[in-house]
Amino acid sequence: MSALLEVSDLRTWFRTRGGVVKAVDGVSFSIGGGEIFGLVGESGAGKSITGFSLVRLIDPPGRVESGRVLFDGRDVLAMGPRELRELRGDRVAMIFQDPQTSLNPVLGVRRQMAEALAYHGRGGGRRETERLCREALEEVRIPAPAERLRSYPHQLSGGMKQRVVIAMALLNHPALLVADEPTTALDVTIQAQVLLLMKRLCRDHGSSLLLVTHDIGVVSQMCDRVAVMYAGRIVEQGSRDQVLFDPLHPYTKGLIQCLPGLNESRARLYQIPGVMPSLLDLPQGCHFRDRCPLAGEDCRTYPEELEIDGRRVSCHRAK
Amino acid sequence: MPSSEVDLLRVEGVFKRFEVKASPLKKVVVHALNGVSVSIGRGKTLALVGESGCGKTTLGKTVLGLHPPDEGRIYFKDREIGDLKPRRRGEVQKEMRMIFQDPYASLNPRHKIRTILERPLKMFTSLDGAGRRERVEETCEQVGLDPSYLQRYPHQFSGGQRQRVAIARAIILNPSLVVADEPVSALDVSIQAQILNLMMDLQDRYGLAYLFITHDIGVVRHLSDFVGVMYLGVIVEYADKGALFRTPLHPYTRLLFSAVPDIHKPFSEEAARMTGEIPSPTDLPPGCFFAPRCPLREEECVRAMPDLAEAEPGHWVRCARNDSGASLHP
Amino acid sequence: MAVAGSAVLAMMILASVLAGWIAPQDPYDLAVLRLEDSFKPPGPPFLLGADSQGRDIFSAILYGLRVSLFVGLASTVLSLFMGVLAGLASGYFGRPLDTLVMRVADVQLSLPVFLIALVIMAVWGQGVLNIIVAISVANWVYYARTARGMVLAEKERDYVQAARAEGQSALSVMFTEIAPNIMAPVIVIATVRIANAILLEATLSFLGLGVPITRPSLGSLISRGYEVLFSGYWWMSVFPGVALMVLVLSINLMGDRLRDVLNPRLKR
Repeated sequence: MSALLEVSDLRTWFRTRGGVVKAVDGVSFSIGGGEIFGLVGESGAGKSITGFSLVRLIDPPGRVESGRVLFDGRDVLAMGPRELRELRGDRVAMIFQDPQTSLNPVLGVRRQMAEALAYHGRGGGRRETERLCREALEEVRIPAPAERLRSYPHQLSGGMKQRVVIAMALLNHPALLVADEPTTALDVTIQAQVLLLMKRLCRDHGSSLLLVTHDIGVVSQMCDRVAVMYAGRIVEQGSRDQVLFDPLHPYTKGLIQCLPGLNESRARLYQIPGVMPSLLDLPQGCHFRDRCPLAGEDCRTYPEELEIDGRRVSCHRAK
Repeated sequence: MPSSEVDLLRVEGVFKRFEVKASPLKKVVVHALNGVSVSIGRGKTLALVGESGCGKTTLGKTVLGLHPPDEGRIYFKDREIGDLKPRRRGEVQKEMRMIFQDPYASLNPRHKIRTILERPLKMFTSLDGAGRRERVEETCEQVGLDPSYLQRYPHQFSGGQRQRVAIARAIILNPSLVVADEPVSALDVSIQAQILNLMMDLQDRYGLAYLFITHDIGVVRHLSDFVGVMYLGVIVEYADKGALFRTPLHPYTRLLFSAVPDIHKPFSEEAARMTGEIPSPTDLPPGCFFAPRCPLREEECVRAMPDLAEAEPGHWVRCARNDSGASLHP
Repeated sequence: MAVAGSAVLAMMILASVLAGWIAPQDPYDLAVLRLEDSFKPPGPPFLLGADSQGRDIFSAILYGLRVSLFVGLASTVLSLFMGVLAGLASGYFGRPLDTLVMRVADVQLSLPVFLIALVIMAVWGQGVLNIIVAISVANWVYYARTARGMVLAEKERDYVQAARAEGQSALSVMFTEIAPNIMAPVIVIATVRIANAILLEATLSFLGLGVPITRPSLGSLISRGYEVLFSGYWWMSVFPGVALMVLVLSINLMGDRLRDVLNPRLKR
């Protein structure tokens, strides 16, 4: 089965006055049809930028420097403006983190949803559009969808806004949904509902989902496959069970170990010493070197990506 | 009313309402706290957990005197302080300090770290310049801050370091109670662990009591002694940590626990079935606040708000169904 | 452009400060004046010509610059001070003080700044101090409004709550905690309004309602020259006018740049 999305050696750099920030520096992964793929990492790891780079939503001083993003066989990075416009919102839809700012506050819900349809040539006629929009809202379990269509965003709660955003994203039946921290701004109980909703919809529509998040718990609930990012690169990727329950990379291990709540003892949490290095000042060789309990001399050279057991990891100690 | 052995802080029946202008002509009342009673013993950690609108942050600020309660009393070491502004509280205020949620907003951007840390010393101690400097440096060491950072401004630091400054500011006066409002929520996971460890170390070393406000169940599970679950300005369940996690009694508590994405536990069916939004504190449901969303809802639940009752020794619950001993499993 | 503006401005400020030394003539020392020099056109020794009493226009401009700059700066600083104080108190204490201050401000804003200053000066009469106060009173509102808005936002932030929780007095919180954080946009406004203040003073002086005759500003000079403008003695008005224009232009250019420099810091 050929992958829906194949990313090879993606590099997105930001040229600032302080130097070149290599936000994404050689990232490769692939997502199959109908698959839920988690891209997890802490802040500054480059996961959001990776998501945006897939549809070239990078503004100066950032630039997608090199690499290939093959969507359904076509290279997104080489597309002309018209092809790109057809891709965005239609074949690939994005869901952003903050529901407060994702919707235009001065336009009604119906208008915004209709726009998403009309832009890609769907929804002929007012009644047809109305019907499609209402059905989409029903799908995301918004109560009283007909009324909600007439509402303005500020009349909706955060959770509802996010559902509207999801409904809009799905209007054109995209093959791939890219969701950047879609539930981080929501309360826990609402988060659960929205996540389960997204999972169900993706299964129903046969869409793939790229879920970008810092929350390992969310990833473990939602994803089929997971990639862990650190300082601009993927350090480990594989199936969910492989990465989360049998991690090979010391960073992944550390990250999972330092999660509180595993048990009720007041024992000190495992902590990864230090902080993620600034992307302007990365250590020579493996980026995790300065914080790694297993670091050695050989870590001065960046580890090659190894393939073990159908998974990939970049660490000298992974064998 | 739930209380522990030797109460450091006692909150009794506190109500707090805010009047807010929803539009130029319409004023709405936000019912932030609707009768909250809790207590904290010396050296213990009470975790207050809940989602938005539950009033946990408001309670923390009310305890500190930033909002005078509309009804109810607050006692610190048996002295009533509820209606006293921080300025009027004298020595008491020195004993309770706060750590705020947002490390990017809790430090004055125009003040050097040294200034920020010296201010409480200036206000509450009679130390001279040299004495203050010494104490500041001592505290920096305790929280893992390099003293050379004292000359810098907050924007030069990472979130984790700023929280260390906030913690330093909180403990520099040797308080007995620290109100920590989501102290690690804005931090990365690996930094969270560092800060939580630091807070536990400080607690062990100085016998601090914590009022730990959070929405993160994992954190609660790890470092609390007692837990109060809040919903729309009331405590719906209160117990010691072990009892609460073993047998959560209130339907909201169980919903909360099941909704947390946990690496070792898949989403439960309950979470999948849960519908409904959190009501707004401007528009409280009649009777039990959780009734609209509750799978165990009955007639009596809408008629009146149940009292907080002791279901088992030390385990309090505000639920009509629990009181009658009805089955907890629908 | 901004650099050129700042350079020119710096030169002008320097020139006005050093007027005593570089001016070829002290135009206010009556003993030096000779009536036979009156109305002499530009040419040595009167670089920019002479006025009706034989005063060297160039020297007069240098001294006039001094007055214009001084009044402009002083009145801006004073109105900034007044406005920020009012904004701080208004924003921090809320009603009823806030309502009172804002209504006063609203009333004042409905009147043209020029008119307010005009009325004050008409009542008080000429004088350097008078005009400084008059312009300050006319302008405080702009600072007050901005300061108040910023205070309302900053008041809710955690660092202010932390200070209050520590028992800091209201005054202390206002001045030590909040004030340093609201100054940036206020200063930006000041850079714009300095030029306004200078022009306001020039206009009032032109009408005879500003600085006294004994300490003429650029505006007064223009005024004096205006009377004889159509008799062909153009240099008496034009040169001070050009000087005023260059002054205001360079302040505006520098102000633009200053605004951009201060801006990134406004975004947190």
